[in-house]
Amino acid sequence: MNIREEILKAVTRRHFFHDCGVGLGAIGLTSLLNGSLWASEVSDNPIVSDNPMGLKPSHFPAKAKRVVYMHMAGAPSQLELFDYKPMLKKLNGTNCPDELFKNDQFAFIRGVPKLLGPQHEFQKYGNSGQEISTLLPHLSEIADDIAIVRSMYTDQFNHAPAQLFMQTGFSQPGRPSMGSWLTYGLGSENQDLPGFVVLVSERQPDGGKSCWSSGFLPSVYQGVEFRSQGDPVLFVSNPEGVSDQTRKMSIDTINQLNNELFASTGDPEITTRISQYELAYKMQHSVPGLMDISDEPQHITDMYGIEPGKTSFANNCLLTRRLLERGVRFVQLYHWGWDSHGTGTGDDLMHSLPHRCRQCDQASAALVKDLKQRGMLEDTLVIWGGEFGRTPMNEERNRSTFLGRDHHPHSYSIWLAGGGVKAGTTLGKTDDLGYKVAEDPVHVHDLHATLLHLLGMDHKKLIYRFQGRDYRLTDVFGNVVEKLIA
Amino acid sequence: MKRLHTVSTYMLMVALPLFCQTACQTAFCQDTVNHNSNLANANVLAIFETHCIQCHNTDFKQGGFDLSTPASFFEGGEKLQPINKENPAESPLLKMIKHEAEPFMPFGMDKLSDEDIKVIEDWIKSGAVWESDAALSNKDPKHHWAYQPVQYPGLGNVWSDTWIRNQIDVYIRFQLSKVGLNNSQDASKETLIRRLSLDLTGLPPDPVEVDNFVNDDSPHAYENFVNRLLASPHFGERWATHWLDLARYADSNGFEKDSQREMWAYRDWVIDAINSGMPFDQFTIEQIAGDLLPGSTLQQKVATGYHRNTMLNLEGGVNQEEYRVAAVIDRTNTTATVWLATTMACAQCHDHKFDPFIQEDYFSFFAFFNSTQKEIKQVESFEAQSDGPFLAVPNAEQQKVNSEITPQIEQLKAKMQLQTPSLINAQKEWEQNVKQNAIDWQVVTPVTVTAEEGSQFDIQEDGSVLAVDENPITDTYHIELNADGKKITGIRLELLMDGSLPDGGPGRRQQGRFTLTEVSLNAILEDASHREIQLINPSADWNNNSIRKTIDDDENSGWGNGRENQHNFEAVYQTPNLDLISSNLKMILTLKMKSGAGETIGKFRVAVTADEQPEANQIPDDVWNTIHKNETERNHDETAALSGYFRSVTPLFAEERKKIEQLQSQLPKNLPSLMVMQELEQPRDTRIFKGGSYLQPGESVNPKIPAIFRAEQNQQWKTRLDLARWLVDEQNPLTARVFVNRIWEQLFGYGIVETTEDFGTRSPEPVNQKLLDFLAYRFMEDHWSLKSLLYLIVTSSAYRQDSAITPEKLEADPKNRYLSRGASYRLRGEFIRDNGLKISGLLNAKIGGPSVFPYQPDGIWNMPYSSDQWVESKNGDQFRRGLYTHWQRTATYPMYVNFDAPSRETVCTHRIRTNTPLQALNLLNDPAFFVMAQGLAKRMIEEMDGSVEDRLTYGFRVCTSRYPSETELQKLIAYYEKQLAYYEDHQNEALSVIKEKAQAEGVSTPQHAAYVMASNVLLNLHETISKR
Repeated sequence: MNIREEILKAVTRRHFFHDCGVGLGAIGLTSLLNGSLWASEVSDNPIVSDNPMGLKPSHFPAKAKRVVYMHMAGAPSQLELFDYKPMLKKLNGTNCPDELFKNDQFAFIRGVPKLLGPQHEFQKYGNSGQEISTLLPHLSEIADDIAIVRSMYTDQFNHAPAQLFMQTGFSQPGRPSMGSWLTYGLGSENQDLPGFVVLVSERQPDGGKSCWSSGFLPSVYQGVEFRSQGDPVLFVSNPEGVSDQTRKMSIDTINQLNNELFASTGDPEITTRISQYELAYKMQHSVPGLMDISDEPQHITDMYGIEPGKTSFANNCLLTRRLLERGVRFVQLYHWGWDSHGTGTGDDLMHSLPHRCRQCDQASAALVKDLKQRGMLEDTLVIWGGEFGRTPMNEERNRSTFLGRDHHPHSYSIWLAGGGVKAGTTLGKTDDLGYKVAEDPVHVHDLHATLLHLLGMDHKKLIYRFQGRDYRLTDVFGNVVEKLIA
Repeated sequence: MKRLHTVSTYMLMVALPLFCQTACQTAFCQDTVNHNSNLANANVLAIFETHCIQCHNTDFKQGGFDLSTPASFFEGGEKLQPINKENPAESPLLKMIKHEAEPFMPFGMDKLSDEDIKVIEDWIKSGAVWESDAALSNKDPKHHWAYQPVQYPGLGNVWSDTWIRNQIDVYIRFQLSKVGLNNSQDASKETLIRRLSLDLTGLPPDPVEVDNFVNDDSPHAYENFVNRLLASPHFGERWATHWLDLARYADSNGFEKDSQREMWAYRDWVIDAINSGMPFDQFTIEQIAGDLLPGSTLQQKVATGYHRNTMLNLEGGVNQEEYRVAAVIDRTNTTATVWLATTMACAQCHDHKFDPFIQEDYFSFFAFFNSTQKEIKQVESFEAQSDGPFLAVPNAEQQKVNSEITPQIEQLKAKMQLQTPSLINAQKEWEQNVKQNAIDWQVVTPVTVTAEEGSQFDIQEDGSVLAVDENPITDTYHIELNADGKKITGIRLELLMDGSLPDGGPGRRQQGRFTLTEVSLNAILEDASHREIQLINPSADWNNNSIRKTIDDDENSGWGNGRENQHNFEAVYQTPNLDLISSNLKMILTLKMKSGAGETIGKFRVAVTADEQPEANQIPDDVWNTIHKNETERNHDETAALSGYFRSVTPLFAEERKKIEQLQSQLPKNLPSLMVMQELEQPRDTRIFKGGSYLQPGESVNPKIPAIFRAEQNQQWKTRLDLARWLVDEQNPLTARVFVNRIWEQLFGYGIVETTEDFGTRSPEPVNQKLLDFLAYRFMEDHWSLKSLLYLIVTSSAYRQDSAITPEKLEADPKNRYLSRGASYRLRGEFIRDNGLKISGLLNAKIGGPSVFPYQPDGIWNMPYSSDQWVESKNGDQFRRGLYTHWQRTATYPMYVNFDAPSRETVCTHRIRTNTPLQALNLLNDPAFFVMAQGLAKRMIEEMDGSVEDRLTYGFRVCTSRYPSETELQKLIAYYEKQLAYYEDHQNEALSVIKEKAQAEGVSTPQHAAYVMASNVLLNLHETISKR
């Protein structure tokens, strides 16, 4: 980072401080000029060294600046939502051909499974004629803004490993999440919020917090969960009986005393500490404002389908927009309950799947529309999808009479929008039964490579050395999917 | 280095890319060496040296090609010469590096940069002149410093210098002089006592201890204090906290369910081992292979919990073998990282690109760990559970109760075993009775057996029926019997074990489970019509209470064996009206099994009797058989079993049995246990996994240490114990170096080798090789004693230096690698918590026991498919030291996460220290920390009479071990005064801050609140959370 940029940023920070009316005086200024935000003491990886959250140049000009990843945990059925298969419909109820499934492992299917045709209707929408399920009426309104990939595939067929694989490129916990890689590679465009934020509705994904872990990257790059219960960011509110005024004085005193220590020891880490306390105070102000959506006009909350006073996926979509507006680099949303095995009405294709669609369809489409009307869609990459697909066969676990599909790593569908993605297209094809990818396969590593590419990063160059090895999000794999790029 | 591949080199080269097709743990390896020479030729040679020589050198000529000398270069390989002099553009070398001709070079690596290719292209086109006689050096990893035996490095030039207190200082001083830096003077005594206390016990000293130390002018005051700390029970806790990262210790299984596990007995073993001064070689052997030591003790088996800290994936539908292998891989990689600082994991999928480990080395190492059982079992149709092996570890109290009660039970049992004449007679009488009353059962071989839902049957010679093939979820069996016109008073159904059934039967669900929901019997009359025969007075030899549920006309209830209850069973039904029916009777016995979980009967046999009131025989088969033998034919075991059974039923011992039952109920239940390592009787065949994937097994390998370390070719390697002993063999060049380096990092912030986890050829050189070797040498000489090593280090002058930084030193050595000053850095998360608890007077110093649940905000822990909850511990358990905090892998204690704790899903060899606003928020606002402020305020008020000044000074000393400067004190007082004024106007807020009931005596509520806020400030000081 050049000196001019550094000074510029310091001045900007100072300006912000002043506007906030915090005014910690001379010490504040000292720290702003000397310190670094979100700092890390120890690292040999050059781009972490000084200000790990400072802006870093991309490898080449970026099409997208920020990312929203809506992870539908449990894995939505592509065969009911995006990948219409007339042949499967025709062969509904017949035995699945041996050559397809014989060598596969399934989580729950045993014996010879029967093919199960699509259980919901499809129509063509928009000028582009994208074929989308009638379960997703709002998404179909933006058919021309999205790209559907019908040819995704993965290596994993259990939830936790597959979700981890989707988010970190590795099936076991301990690797950095996509959002961590991006904030590590590009830094943050804001300095009073984390660069990588996670919003969870209902329940955590099966892969747990490891899905947004920074792995071996410094913990400044971890996803920070903005919670819908209690403090949105852990410990952001003062203890009972501690007023804002008191807190301001506390931080002022802490920093003055720390500065005394700095004067006698010269340890630069102390100036960093001072700036962290200033930043903490700023977060105490910026976070509640961010989370308070009461200033949103009615037509916006209606567009998302928000029920006042409730926490929901819809709320999280609106919060996502607010986070992106404030310069957050990567927002990961998790919704839960797409695991349509068909063991009962709670997880079948006829009751549960439509219910999950109703919970997510309007808000996820609204987020795209809202970003578009604010001119942000063009440089915001939006991704929606699960961790794997679902089998073209009925699961019939324990002879269940409810319709459901088992886990299926060989093909599934996702959609993307904005951020340099070719809108109004459908990429890839599966075979007639929707079992395997037939054209333009996109592996999870390829998606990662493409995502990084859109953000201006070469996935082969974004590396980090840990325990003697160089790591990247795409391991030793990944090809940029040129056909997806506008 | 010798390569062990038997395939042709060309084949190998072609095969390599395939090795990477499966997602393995190996990262790609990219070389980053630069070359700056301006000379074209030098540039080319630099590229060769960087990218090519590893495979094409004198020792190891891939494709027969060696480019280390001009002669061998131009000679070319087996098939081709590198340069085409006539047509330089067509030179094979050029085409291969441009990826225009196979094999693409550098093989299996990223393509050379365009600039590098251009350099080579220009060089070839300009005639490919090799302007040097010197051979290119393949930096042969054999000569890498880390693979050379540890030798005493000698002293070199010794300064006659008062600064030098021990040999460490000699090496430090020498290094400093080389880089032109001076050492710093000793830090103040106040600083040193705090530094020592934090480093050796993880807890700060109290002001009284500080005063005593400062005022102790005796010649060995410092050393004596060090020895006191080394003997403190908190010493073990502090160093165990460090080791637990290396052990990836956690209290949960990881993955989707992340259910809780009980492993804390292992954690306590670590604390005890360190406190007792267990030498590191023994510490190693017991953890890696304690179970294999001859006559291994309970504690030695507990130690093997080390390698059971691997994760367990208990998600529904998982593949057991996949996750068994994953755990073995983790053990392999962890052992290599922790003891050898070797990136062995790189060789899982292909030969290591930089260090001397080939894939065979990896799997030979893996083989040491590959002979333990599978770790997950399926309990329900799709549910997985940990399969142990578990080891029960009674605690001291439980052992005490056991030792009191068990002898009483034994005494009663002994009494019951007595063979008195009267007992012998009583038994004979009883046996007679049994024989006389025995029911005369006659087995009826079914004519046919059919099932409604697909079961198939084999009728056996002994009249039993075995179900074969598909097991439906539910089924109904119809058994056609020919009753031969006998009088029948009852019918017996035996359920029998059989090797072909799940886990041996007799049911067809896992663990041989069955549930019989309804039984009915019909006679077939001459006109072929059916008539139901009433079944009454059912009885069974197990769960007699439930057998009536088989004739209650309710398919939702029944009689079954449940879990872990596998043997033969029998049920008897009486048929009072059957003799009314004509001869030539045929009957249909119908068995319904409708529980819906595949709990059908796997093998059964039917018998009938004409005896009065038949009932199920409650006497076990073996005893029954013995009764019917002549006394002379009974062997010793049979006699004993019979006598035992008699004594368990005879009314003569009713009293004793009751007493035993009472005593047994007093025995401790729920003994703590943990998972341990246990070797299979037959070692498992280990195969090289092609591409690192367990789905592609290749050639078999035997357990062996990597070739580079094998001094004796003929040594027999077999078990983990062989491995463990080698790890701590003095000829092993790594273990001691790696260990002392980690300890150094703990004390100074950086290792002598900065990459504590990697001593391979790509690791940075040790900043002070002689120091490293000296420490490793001394460590082994001192019998691998951690305490001796620490004593040596902390009594050096290097350790005692003041940590103040001058701008010159900051410029010359920002990370303080040369140690021209004392180390200073923020404490790790657990110690910040410990420190706060000690400062606030809240610390519960209890050592060991189950993990505890200190306060954490709601909602951190909401895993799908898990009902586990975080319930805050009470009665002081919420104030235990940090290493006792329950460690949930997918939802690690948030304060630790904020302060860089790893999730411990896999091993973490060093934590990166960050400095973030989330840490500030944590210390300012976390209720768990605000409680500490309340505690410290109380101490200031209660332990120090007098003025605000005195009290704040005292609080400052408690936090930092030193007196505040005048300026510091004034700032603190000013803050206090402002808070006091504020809380005088806001009494309710003041009450919230102090917590109403906690109001201290002698101060007003606003004063108390102001002290709490001053404490909050003190606990947030950089100095409070740092060592300096």
